[in-house]
Amino acid sequence: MKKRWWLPAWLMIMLVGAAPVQALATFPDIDTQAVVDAMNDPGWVIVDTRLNDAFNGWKLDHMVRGGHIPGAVDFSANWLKVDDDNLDALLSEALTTKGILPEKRVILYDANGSDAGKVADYLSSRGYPHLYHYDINAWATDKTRTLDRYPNYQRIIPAVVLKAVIDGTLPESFENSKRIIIAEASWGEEKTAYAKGHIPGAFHINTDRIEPPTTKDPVMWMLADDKTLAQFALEFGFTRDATVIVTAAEPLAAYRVATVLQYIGVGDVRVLNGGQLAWTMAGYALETRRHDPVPVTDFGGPIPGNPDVIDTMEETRTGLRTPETFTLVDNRTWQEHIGESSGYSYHKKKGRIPGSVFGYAGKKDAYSMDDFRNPDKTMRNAAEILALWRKQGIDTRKHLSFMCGSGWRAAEVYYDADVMGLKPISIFSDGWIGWSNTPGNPIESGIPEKSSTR
Amino acid sequence: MKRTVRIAITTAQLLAIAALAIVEGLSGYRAGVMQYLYFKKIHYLETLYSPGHLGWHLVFLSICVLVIIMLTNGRQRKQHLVRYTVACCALAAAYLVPWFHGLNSYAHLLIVLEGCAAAECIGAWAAS
Repeated sequence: MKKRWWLPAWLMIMLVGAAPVQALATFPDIDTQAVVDAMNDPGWVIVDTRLNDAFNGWKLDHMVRGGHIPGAVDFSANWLKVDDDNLDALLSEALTTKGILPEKRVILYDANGSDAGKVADYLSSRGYPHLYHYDINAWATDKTRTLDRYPNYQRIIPAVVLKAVIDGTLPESFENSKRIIIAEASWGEEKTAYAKGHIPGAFHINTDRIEPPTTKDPVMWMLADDKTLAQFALEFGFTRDATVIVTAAEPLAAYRVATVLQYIGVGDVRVLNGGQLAWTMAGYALETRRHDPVPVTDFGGPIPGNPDVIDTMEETRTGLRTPETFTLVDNRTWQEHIGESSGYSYHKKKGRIPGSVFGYAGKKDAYSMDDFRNPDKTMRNAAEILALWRKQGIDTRKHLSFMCGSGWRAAEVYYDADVMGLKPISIFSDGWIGWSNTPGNPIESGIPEKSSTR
Repeated sequence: MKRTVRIAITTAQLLAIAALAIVEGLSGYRAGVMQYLYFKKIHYLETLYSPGHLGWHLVFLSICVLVIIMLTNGRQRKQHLVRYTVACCALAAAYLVPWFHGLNSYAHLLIVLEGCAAAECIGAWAAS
């Protein structure tokens, strides 16, 4: 009897114990020279498994320098933790897009000694036989080795940096911040999202404050006039010299408010990369206690302080007349761009602005941004965004004006372009809804001649 | 038959009002619901319920009351007229009290209340 239960128990112990041993056995450490050799060998792929913020340029996990190894692609261990029914499909697509293929030799690097292991386990389970581990600290401490980072990586911040700010320290790039304000953006009253949980210390901004609905037909949510925005800035305590961190349960709202604050003239506006999901995935708790903004009487400068952030209808028309220097990038779904869908329940006109170029957004609906996001809602790899635009013939040396329905999706893309250091860039905030509701504006639909399909 | 029709009409009236309350509540949480309701509200207030159309609504309601009087008598008439009057009073309150104007479902409320008043004609016809 004893033997009968002992044998399967022994087998179970061997199987459970063997799994990590097998992963470790196929995951040897390699040195810096091996990484350098791999950089010029198409049979190898170098993968950054850290948080995307570290890839972007932030010094995380006690690194002495921030950024990523030139030519590396990103596949963050954080993505594996995302709770999404469609996660497997998203990860498979990411692996293919980034060229992380089973037939290649894959170098997985991290800085904390655990991220690469998690990705290695995942890839092993998918049948990747050639996996190697590298500690990027060895690269970062060698001053002769280059690390690439985005020119304005500090515009989108990781949760750990926001936590440090909340705890009263001034992390990297906040050294000169005199007054730091944390605001949580969402549509609607506090009960819709803010009251359910928000970043500790943040007060709420209802996006209707910066884009009140029209009270006459046609119904639109257009950016408020400068006088209303000036009143908004004072009421919420925003000043020209403040550093504002905008967070949101849905990052679109944060990007919309952030770009409007930039337009108003706030000097330093940041967005929590990945929104509340980044915060909770980092293990931090949300708060439900409400906070009120502290009003001010003087903004400290003219409003708008940065009028170039937003293009007016006339500026857009003028730009479209000079396509050799200006591109209106349409950040809506393909269905909206070709006129199959208006994208909105309250707007019936379909089509696009003649001369605009399809610039991607999401696949599902007017609120999806999957072409610009990683599975954890952080900003997608800049090289991949640029590759999408190249496919549509978008020349990033030109003035890029981003548009969507009425400024939300375009705001996120504008921010991504800003992080990448592209300029000049702007947002045509009125977008398709404002354009198509203006009598006399031309409209076209169908598949454009010069455009590739999605 | 008469009783069944009366119950069906009352149930439909109550369900419509309950649905309005639910949709109005939902519009405080769902941007899509609010945007659609608000869009329809502005549309109806500028077309069907514009100040220029007020006269037509009064004519319509007057015809309704005439139909009820013509088709019924005695207790039946009194019963339908009371219900009709309640619907009209609610309609007038919605039209005149500013608090109702702020509801996202304001235009739909006017439609439902006017529909409730008109439904009494069907009840009267079934009772005749």
